[in-house]
Amino acid sequence: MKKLIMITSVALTLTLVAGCTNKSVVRYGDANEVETTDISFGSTDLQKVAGQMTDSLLVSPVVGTLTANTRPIMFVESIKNKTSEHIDTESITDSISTKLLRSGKFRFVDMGRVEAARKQLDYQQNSGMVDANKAMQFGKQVGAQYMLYGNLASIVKSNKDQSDVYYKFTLRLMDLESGLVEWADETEIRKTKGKEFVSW
Amino acid sequence: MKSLLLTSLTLFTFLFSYSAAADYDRNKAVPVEKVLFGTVVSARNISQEELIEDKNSGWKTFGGALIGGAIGNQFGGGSGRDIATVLGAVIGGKMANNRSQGKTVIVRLVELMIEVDCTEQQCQQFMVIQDYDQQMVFHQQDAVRMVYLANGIVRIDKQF
Repeated sequence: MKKLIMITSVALTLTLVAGCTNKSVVRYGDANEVETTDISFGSTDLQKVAGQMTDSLLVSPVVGTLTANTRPIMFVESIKNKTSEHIDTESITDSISTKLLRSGKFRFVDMGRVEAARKQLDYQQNSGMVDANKAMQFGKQVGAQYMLYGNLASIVKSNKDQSDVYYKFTLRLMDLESGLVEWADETEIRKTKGKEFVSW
Repeated sequence: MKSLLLTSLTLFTFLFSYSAAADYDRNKAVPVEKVLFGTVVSARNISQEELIEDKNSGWKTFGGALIGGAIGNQFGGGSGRDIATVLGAVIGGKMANNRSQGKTVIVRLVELMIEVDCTEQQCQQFMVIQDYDQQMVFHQQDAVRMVYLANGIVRIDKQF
């Protein structure tokens, strides 16, 4: 019996130690899978925020009226990150604007590419390489009618056993001519991290 | 024999435990008092000689700066976490290490002049001294956030 226990122990130890060698493994995963690596802002939060905000905007009666006979032109101002984390808020606005564009109800101007567009127009107009009759003209761009902007804020509380983080994402749509905020919504995320006796 | 089995299981648990500690974790959710948005007017590295010289002249250059990054936590313990305390500790810590162990603790500091976005009031400029982070090197005209953390220090992050 003692011999059996000893052999089992040694075998268990060897198996576990061998299994703990530093071996890198690369796998493909589901991009929509819930990610709970840690408590900070992650991919699931980004997807949740972008999805909820887009749905809310598209089903809003006000936006339904705005988009009834036309496709309004929007531009996305940056999301103000008021959390302690370095979050790429451009990814959030990219996701939102892509979903809105795919809905077919809005059109967008990309202010982040104005300089690149200017260079291309300058090349077409002034390089002598492009047929003057077919070159795109300066001064024909269409201005945005609406501005999409927002804030991401967090409240963090923690003690030795538990951490709690609450995120609030607010998004607003402003009519640039009148200055009226035509639509606004907010979404909340709460994440809690606590100690568990067994956790793997 | 049973203790051998127990040891094996303990070893198993130990091997699977993991801890990651980073002094400068910008992706950590921690309490924030407020966040200001602005632009980098200038960014430069501060030398050790410059610090000592300024200390001897009564902190005329860096006396009005805000403490940023991890140095406030590392060197400014207690309630007196002002610029003289922190920078004095940076210099003192380095010298002490030089004398006692023959080692040098290298603390690279950067001075950042930040112009906060103009609001209804006038534009304001802040000088922030924080430790150099090679993952986030600042340049003139960078859009930044001034994150006022709840422990009394600020941290400059890039907005994007």
